[in-house]
Amino acid sequence: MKITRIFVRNKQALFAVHTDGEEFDEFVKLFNQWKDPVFLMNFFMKHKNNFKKPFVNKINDACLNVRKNANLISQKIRDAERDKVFLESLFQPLNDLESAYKIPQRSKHKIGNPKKDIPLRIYAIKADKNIYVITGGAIKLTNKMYEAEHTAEELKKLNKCKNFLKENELNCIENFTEFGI
Amino acid sequence: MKKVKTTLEILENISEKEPSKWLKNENWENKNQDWLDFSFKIALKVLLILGEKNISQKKLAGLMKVSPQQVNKIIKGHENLTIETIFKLEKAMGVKLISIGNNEKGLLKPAMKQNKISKRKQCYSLPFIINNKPKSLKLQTNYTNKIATYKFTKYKNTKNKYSKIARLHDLNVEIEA
Repeated sequence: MKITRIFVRNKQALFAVHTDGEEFDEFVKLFNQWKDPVFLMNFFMKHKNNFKKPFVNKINDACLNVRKNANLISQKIRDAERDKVFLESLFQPLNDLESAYKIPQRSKHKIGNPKKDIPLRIYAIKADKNIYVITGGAIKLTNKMYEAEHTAEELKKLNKCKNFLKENELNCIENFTEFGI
Repeated sequence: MKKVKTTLEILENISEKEPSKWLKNENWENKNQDWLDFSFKIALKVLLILGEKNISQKKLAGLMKVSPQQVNKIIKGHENLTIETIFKLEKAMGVKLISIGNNEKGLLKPAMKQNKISKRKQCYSLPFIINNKPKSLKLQTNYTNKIATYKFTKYKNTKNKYSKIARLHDLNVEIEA
């Protein structure tokens, strides 16, 4: 595991995990996925049971919604890079911790309107005030992270990064945080 | 005395020399967002049609007489498509991907094609006359059936307009889209 700098500006800094053997860091990978029609189509076809109504006709809306929200998130992070907002105002503590070690199970939560209700999340470790290390992100389809395989995987990545930072004598002030729309 | 390293110093120490490409990528995407959004929508449409008609990407490349890599670029939604490529796609899939108004009347009334215009502007572009200014006006356009539905609530000229019941009219007017 490696750490890559996204930006360091005054007292704000954002880093991302770069997994060994991968071409890009987790943050670049995440946005590549959120803006890739092929990935999104396959993702929504795989998770069509998470939607209330027959979903095939609305897959287009869902993909467009993800792209729109990804652009909004991107704008917020770029605003932080220009010191227009503080990273602390974007990232919130992750209150999903009790679920970290549970086995993935089917969620009862269903998404209604693919035009509106597709939340995106970026997961990060708060190393210090306004200093974050991004471990990944996801299209959140379930209430709890452990309820879906792909979000449960994100919890594992958060833990792995926490241990890596600890090995490098860095004790983070808040372990897990999330930012999303 | 040994200096205590700050969090930022530790992170900068262990991070790679080369910064992430994220910022550069996103700044570029933001600059080119309009055509990238359009390319993304075309890619989605192509993927849906390929799925519906059960055409593989390889077969599509053959039909278009382009390389599979070119098709891959198109469906990734990052390709600045030429008109020629769009026509090749349409011909290969037998589906119309984009169209523009070819009717003078349609071009002269662009306001009618927008849902997010002010009520006042909508009134001006209505193909019929309303004597009193409507209280509320909703425009729903169905381009497939070439039908524009105008739903509006109209008040009678009375002194106490709050006490009167609003009358609702639903009109179906044909437009040329």
